[in-house]
Amino acid sequence: MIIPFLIGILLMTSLSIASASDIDSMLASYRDEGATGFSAERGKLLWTSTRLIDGEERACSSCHTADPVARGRHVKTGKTIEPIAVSANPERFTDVSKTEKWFRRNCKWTLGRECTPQEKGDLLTWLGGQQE
Amino acid sequence: MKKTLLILIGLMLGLTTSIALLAGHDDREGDEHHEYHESDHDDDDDRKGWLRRFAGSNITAQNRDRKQDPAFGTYADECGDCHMAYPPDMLSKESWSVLMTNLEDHFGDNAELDAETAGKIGRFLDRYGANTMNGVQSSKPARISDTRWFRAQHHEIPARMVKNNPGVKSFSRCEACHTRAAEGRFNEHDVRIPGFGYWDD
Amino acid sequence: MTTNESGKIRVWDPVVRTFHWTLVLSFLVAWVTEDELMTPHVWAGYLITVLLLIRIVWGFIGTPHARFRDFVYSPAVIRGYISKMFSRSEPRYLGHNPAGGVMVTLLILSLLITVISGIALYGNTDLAGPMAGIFQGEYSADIFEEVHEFFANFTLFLVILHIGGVTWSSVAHRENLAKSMLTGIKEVKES
Repeated sequence: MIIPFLIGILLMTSLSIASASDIDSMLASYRDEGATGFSAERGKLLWTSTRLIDGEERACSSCHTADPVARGRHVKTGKTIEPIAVSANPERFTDVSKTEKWFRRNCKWTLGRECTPQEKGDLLTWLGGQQE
Repeated sequence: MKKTLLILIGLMLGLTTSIALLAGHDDREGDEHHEYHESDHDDDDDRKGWLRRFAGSNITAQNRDRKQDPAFGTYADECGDCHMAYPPDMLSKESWSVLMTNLEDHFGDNAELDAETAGKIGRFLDRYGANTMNGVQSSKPARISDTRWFRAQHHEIPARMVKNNPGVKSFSRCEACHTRAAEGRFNEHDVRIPGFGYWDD
Repeated sequence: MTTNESGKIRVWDPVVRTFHWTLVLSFLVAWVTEDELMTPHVWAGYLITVLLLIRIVWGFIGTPHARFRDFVYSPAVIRGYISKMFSRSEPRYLGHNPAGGVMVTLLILSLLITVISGIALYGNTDLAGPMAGIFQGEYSADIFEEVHEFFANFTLFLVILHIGGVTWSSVAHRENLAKSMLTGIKEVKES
């Protein structure tokens, strides 16, 4: 009786460890590049702050919305974007190269430059730890 | 005999010219008399539906082949992330190659790719992009919706149905109106404009 | 033309007959597949184009009743024939009668305009076919489309008149003209 329960717990833990470890490995590489003390609060702030780039007001939330567990919409094409928070979408950030690709593109679009390792770490800390 | 022939040929040419002149006088902007119809066209659908099931239409052989290409999956994934992955033959090879070298500024967005993936997609587009040999396309324009043939197909559609239509917003969103765009089918009989219904020419 | 003992005569040669019925089939296919199944529609159109070219050439070098000279009469004769139709006293012709001659000419012309505008349209908006890319304008697209649609419909209208005319003549002269276009044979009649 208790065995399936334990197996269930084990599975869920290992699953969350899996995604946690992908984020962890990215955080570790950011630390190697000089980032310290990641903060979810800073990540959240970065997410919603707007900047004027090429005459447009831009923020991460422009497409992803301010609520990371909600579905977003591409601001031009209207395409639906699945939730970005791991708690709502466990697939997020499990593919390192995919994550870095989107960081590169979207930071450049939103901030006008690449995100620093510190900023990326803060964002991942916030998005990886969102509670439903 | 000659007189009769001349009369008849003259008549037919005159008729042709009249029709041509009448056609050329169609209103360009906000053409109102080409109206849309709501679902009173269901029986038109049924009448033709059985025909369509027998054969594909409006898909060129080129288009069909591209789905078997090993790079197709990469193209569909990367280039379908934000918008519909457009059929490559809607733009010239030249236009595609210009586009692929400017991914950082992809119509106002950043669509950068790593060199390997970009190369793979670039070669795919070169295989299936439209040829420029008979002067059909040139490297300008860069947008599918700016090509002559696209504008010819869509020029009767007023702004209120596209740009000012919240359900559509832009011609770049084929799938908003072309219900079978994902299959590569753009036949006008499959068009349903959000908020307006069928498009009848 | 050959005559045999029972008074039958071959009027329509195989070229004319094959042309006629292939045209009927092709027009039917083109009509039914219009804008829905482009492949059969376009190939029916190409076939009709070829058929027309053959028939026009044959109209100058073919068997006697196939030649335009045989059935394209002067306006005066045509008027005379039509007025005789009103009193149901029009004479019987072995080849096409004067009214029929007008019909044949109009059909060929209408079909020619239809296929040419069709090929132009195909090249303009689908960027396909022998005229691909030659015209690329938005205005030319409209013109070709309207012309093509009009003359496709006009041809159908002519076809309906044609069937009516053939039926009228068949009844008036007690012969089956459609069958004659199939077999080529007509009866020799005393005038």
